[in-house]
Amino acid sequence: MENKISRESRAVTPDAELLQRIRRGDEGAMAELYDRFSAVVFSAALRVLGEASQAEDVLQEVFLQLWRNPSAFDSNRGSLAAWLAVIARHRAIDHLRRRRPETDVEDVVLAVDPELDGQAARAEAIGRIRAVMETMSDEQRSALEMAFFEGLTHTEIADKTGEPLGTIKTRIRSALIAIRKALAS
Amino acid sequence: MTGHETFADELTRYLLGELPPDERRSLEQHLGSCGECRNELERLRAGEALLTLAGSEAVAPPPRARARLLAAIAREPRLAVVHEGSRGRAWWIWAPSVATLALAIVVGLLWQENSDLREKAQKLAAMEMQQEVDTHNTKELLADLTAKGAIHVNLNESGADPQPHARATYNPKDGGIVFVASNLTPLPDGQAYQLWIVPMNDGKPIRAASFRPTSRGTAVVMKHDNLRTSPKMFAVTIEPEHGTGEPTYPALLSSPIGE
Repeated sequence: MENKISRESRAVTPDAELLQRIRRGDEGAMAELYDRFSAVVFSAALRVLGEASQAEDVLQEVFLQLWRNPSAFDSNRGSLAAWLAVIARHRAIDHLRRRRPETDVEDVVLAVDPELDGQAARAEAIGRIRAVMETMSDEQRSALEMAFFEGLTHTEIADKTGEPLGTIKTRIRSALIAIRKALAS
Repeated sequence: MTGHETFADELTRYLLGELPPDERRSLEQHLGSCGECRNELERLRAGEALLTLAGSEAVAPPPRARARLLAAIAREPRLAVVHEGSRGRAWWIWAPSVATLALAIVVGLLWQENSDLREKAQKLAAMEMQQEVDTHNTKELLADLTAKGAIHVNLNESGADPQPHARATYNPKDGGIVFVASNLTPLPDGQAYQLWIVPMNDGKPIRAASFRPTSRGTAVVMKHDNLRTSPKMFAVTIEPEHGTGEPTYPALLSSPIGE
């Protein structure tokens, strides 16, 4: 797998270099970065919003924001794909709840291996997460998805499922911690 | 339970935007001083990212989205959003000739206005007329100067290497600052130019703005910063990109006000 990752990284301009060119106002670099990650952003937004035209709005917003402030992402700190996925999900939930953005992009720092920008490594990590999801009970997985992709608050999930609020909080918290542990292993 | 343990328990709710504002502020304050909690949050965020990727079916956006984004970018002014002291104020980086010429026009208009003032009998009418002319001229000027494809050049002494140069204007009435620089050398990642103002009263430099020049070595800073006194000096230093509280000497550029 290592060889595969090395081949990928040799074949393309590194993300950090593209971001540096974007800082200098290079529109071509922005187009290249878009081609590389637009599916990541669009897919995350579509998963939350379920409607292509709204997901397209989030896609525009996320990339325009990156164009205006490319320094918001610190390329020394992790994977750009992972960072964009987080920003896209947050913006999509903001759209869903029709609220002003709650997360400042500069506050989002991830402890993700930069190698995850390689598709093979990313696919492997995603596989590990899906395996953890498989081990969860239907109730826990459902609560996590409602919080994560439907933007429901813990209280709303408790109301919807008829479960006590404390149970919902515990289920979601332990699910997120299980995922964090799976990445560390 | 110690404070630290309490915060560790809150991190997952913070991640999902579940914390009420007061608890959120309190946690953010704690994160500022607790490396362990910061690391835990970063690891949870990594899980959040991978869960987002894992839970989303890979779908390519429609081709029109790419064209739409590139058109939007082309319409954006050549802006470099940089770190600034007073939040909420926007400041821009344009070609230097925009602001230089705009300043020249403003000076010219002010001189004209003074002439009009001497004509006491026609004072009000002349000012009104002048304002109309100002508005018209400024609109035309800005349209030309910011037009896509407009050519901006700097003129230097023939044969001489272009040297870094800047001009700063401060309006004591409203604290407006216009700073125009050219021939600045590009800086490596992690560094930025920083504009300082040394006020007349205690002489302690105030950080006015941190900026990176355009690829042509030009930068324009426009902002408001009420000094409550007159500035004694402007200076530009090279600092870490996220700014610093004290200037690193020697300054690249410095000038007493009015020079």
